[in-house]
Amino acid sequence: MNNKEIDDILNSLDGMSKAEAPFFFQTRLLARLQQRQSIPIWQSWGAFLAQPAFAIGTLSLFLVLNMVAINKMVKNKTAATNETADKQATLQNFVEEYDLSTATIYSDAKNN
Amino acid sequence: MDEPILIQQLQQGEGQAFTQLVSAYQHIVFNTVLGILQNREDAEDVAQEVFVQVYQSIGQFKGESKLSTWLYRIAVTKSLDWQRRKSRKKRFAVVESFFGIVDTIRHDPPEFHHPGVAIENKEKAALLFKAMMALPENQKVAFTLNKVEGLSYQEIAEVMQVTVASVEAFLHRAKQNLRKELAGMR
Repeated sequence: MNNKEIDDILNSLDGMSKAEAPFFFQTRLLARLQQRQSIPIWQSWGAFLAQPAFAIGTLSLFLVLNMVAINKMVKNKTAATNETADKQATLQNFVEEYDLSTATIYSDAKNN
Repeated sequence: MDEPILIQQLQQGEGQAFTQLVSAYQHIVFNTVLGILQNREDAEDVAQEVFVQVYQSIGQFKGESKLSTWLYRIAVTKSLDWQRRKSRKKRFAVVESFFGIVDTIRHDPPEFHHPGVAIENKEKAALLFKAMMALPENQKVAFTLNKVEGLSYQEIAEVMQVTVASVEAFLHRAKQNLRKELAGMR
């Protein structure tokens, strides 16, 4: 396509008239407005909730919240396990320091 | 009817005022939307949605611009939203086709012939409209408002809420891009 042809194409809308709206435009518009006003609120909310973007967003949020909760649970369990182990170690140290093992108590009782 | 009085009556919910508004502006809204969407059925749908939005949000119109400017702005916004939704559906359809979920035959849309174009220019205008579809949104809007709707640079600037210099830049770049696009066509 040469420049002259391109120029002609670029100027092809010069002097054009405007398109007119279809004949029953206003009638259909009023019907549309009436229909919109008669949609119950729950239906319009339902349509919003059913949108994929909303569903995917909500699902992603639930997944993230679940992961955070699980992570927290695992950390708490680890902390509890460590605490128990610490307590056991402390108790064992106490037993050894004061020589309070079962065998010792029984042998002391026997000797006495 | 005087515009401030019409706006006041619209905000008071007077049905007669709304009917008057639609009668006065339906053609300019339809023509603008048609120029952007290039499809008569889509244009009627979107043009009606423009007036639905006007009906629902006239209370928020503060009269800082002319009523026509506001209408053009809503028409442009709704048209671009429609096009973006349509593009998203097309992209999703490509993904669906990968999974074999194809239930419609997809084909290129037919040539668009604007009813207001003179017969001797119809074929050239069809090529121009096809090339316009490839323009970035700002350039497409500015070019459509100028060439299809016949708005001045100042009026376009008010609709797009940019400076006149920006409108000149959009139109200059639009013409450059259209030349490239047309040169690539057979």
